[in-house]
Amino acid sequence: MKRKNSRMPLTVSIVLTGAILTLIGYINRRGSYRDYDQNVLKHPLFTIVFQGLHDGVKPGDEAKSVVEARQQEQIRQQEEAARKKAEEEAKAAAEAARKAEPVTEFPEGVNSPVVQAVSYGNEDRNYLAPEGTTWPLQQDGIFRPIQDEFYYLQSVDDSYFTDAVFIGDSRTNGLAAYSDLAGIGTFLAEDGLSVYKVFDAPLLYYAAAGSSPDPSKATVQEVLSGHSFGKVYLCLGINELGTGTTVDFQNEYKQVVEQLRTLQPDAIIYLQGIMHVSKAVASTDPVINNTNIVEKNTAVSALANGRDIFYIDMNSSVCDEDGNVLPELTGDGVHLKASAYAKWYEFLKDNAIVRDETDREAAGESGTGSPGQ
Amino acid sequence: MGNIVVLSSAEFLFRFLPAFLAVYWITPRRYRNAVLFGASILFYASAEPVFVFVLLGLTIVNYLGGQAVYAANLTEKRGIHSPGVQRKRKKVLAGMVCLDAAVLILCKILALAVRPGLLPLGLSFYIFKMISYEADLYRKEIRQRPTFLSTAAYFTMFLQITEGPIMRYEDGFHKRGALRKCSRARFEDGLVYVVIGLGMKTLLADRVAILWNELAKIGYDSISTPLAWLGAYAYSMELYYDFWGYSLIAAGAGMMAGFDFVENFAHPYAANGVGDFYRRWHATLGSWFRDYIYIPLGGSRAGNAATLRNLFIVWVLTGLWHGGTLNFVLWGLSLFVLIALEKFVLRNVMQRSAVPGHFNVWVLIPLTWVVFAITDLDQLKLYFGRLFPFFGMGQTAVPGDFVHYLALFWPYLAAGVILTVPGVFRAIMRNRRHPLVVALLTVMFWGAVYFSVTTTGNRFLYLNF
Repeated sequence: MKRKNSRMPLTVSIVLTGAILTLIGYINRRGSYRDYDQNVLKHPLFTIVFQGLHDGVKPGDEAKSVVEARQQEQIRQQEEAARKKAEEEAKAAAEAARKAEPVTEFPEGVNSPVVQAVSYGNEDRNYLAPEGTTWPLQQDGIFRPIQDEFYYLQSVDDSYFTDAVFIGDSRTNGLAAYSDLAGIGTFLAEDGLSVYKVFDAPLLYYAAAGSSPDPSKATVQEVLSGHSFGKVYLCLGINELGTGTTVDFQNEYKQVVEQLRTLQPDAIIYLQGIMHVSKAVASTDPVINNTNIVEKNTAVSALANGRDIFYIDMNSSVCDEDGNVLPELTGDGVHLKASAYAKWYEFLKDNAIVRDETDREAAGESGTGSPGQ
Repeated sequence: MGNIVVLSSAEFLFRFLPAFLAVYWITPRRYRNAVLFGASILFYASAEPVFVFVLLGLTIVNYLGGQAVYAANLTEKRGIHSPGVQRKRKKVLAGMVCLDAAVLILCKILALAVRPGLLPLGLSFYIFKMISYEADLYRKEIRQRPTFLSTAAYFTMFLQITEGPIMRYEDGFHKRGALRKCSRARFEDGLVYVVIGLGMKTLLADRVAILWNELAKIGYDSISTPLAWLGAYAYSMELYYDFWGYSLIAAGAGMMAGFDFVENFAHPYAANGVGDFYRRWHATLGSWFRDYIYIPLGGSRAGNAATLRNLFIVWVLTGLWHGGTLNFVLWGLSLFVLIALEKFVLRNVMQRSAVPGHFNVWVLIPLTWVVFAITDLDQLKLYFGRLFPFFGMGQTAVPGDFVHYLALFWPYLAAGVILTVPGVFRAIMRNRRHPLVVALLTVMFWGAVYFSVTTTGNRFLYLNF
């Protein structure tokens, strides 16, 4: 160490390399190294070159913050997309949940209200359901109403009924014989028909327009299998008033409707309320009275789903405020006079469901659109 | 990156030191002590804004005490040998030494019992400087009256205040610093030492420290015996190169300012025994204890019993100086036992063969470092249980852990072993102007700076003594 050599190779070497590193740092200070602390009071500029090296940033590379920002943006976009997807899925789930919620009540205008009647105290309670029985909306199978998926009754004209089939007892027979619907719609009716016997025997079959006015005989099965109808009108019950209780009646009715649905998957099914009777009959007969009728109507109305099964009650067009059929409209107190059927037809024209325009025009072939709007 | 008091930090090497050197060189010679003192106070205050006043206070007191002793010396020199003067000299010396020692002991106790932060930075080192200053004045080894600035610069000089070396006043401040000489050659040599020291600390010691820290993390109960031994050597290596590295940086920076090189480590692992080891390891501390404790007590001249007693006192004090917890006392005691053994029992054996001595250095000294390293005695016991698994301590080690860590660290361990050979170091120094060596040193320098910049500071191990 006593050498008087005044050469300073290490000093020069370190100073030179340091200058180069500082220069590299300086040139890239706003580029590759912009993320690093450039407080030159604290430490020399070349430290940013080392920090860059440590992070894998070479001079000329993009600054780490730029790369990270881009990656963050990508992640953000991915997260955004995922979030949207999740949102949609949540929405769909909420939809399903909404659909799963039981509907306990229809909004006004979806179905006819069950027309009420005054009780005269002469009802034979054996044919009625136990006192206080309620008739909640049926939630099983085809009968289940779906929240917010309801159609509302509206007015239509004659052409609506060209693809309608009316199934029922003597009252439907009357509709076929005396109303203007004859020749427009199709009828399958028989006096005395009840829910227990709808599919059993051949019925009077009034084919739609274009065929002879005289009915032939056919079973519901045949007619409904062989043709496609847009609307099915069912009107039964007067003949079951003395058979079993309302609960039995409802159960049987349900099965009939299910069978109808199988035969006509796309048709609108109208469950028509049993027409009341006059005061004279209602106030005296223990079986055929409006209390019984109204209870059965209530049970039938619970089968509506507001979507493709509807309850309509034409009693509003023929009864007084007590729910008794107006005396001038009926001869025997149970059937309408021939001229009075027009009122029923009017009612049907004013209480129809149009799901889409094909319902209105009755295209005839296949069923109309699916519910949802 | 640490702040400027850590000599391996970028703040010190690239900001404080160059700024100091620039000012220092342009200052006329007679004001350089003032610059050194001023810079040192700034340096110290940056880390200890409160305790800097303790330093200043002790500086002033010791200076005044020293002046009194010196005045008494002058009186004697003029031929006045009154007992009064003698008494005064003795009293002042005793007072100064007691004060200095008391401050040191008090702070150490406070740091142990209350809060570690109560031990000011570098207290142990500068107190020892102060005591040596007083003693050297008393012994008339300092023959010129010290000025306040030379005294203050000596006590506070930033190059030595944090971890030594414990330089003597005469080595740089006597005769108006005649031994100090700024020259290009000295600067260059100083830089070489700084670079090597920085490399040792950052590229060797800090790397190997990771292994030792890993063992603590795993838990000593879960390391295998081979790994425990590997750990002991890793720690020994870490301590050696950390401290030697620091000493080289300090000495090298001193050379850049014109001071002569201060040797603190003289290849201790080449020693021929534990006694020799401690003449080479932290040499300035060893010589301090020798000159100011051992010899005043009688050294080895008053018979075997007294020698033993003196050795005992020195080593217990050495242990306590390093730390107040029991493991440090144990450490000091174990060294006392080894040195006494070598001196009295193994002397003949060691004269005939170098093997026992080297065994002591290479096998026993690392074991003593384990005692030094682990302050919790239960953990220490556990570690020794792993080193010597003959006492039925349960083994829950992960198989293959030794191989795993050896594979990770062997380059550093190998480098560490190679550098213990004095010839290697000397060869580097001898060829320090060779272009290849210069290139390697440059690369090593930047590599060390890189690690220093990109890892959180690994403060020198001795910074808290």
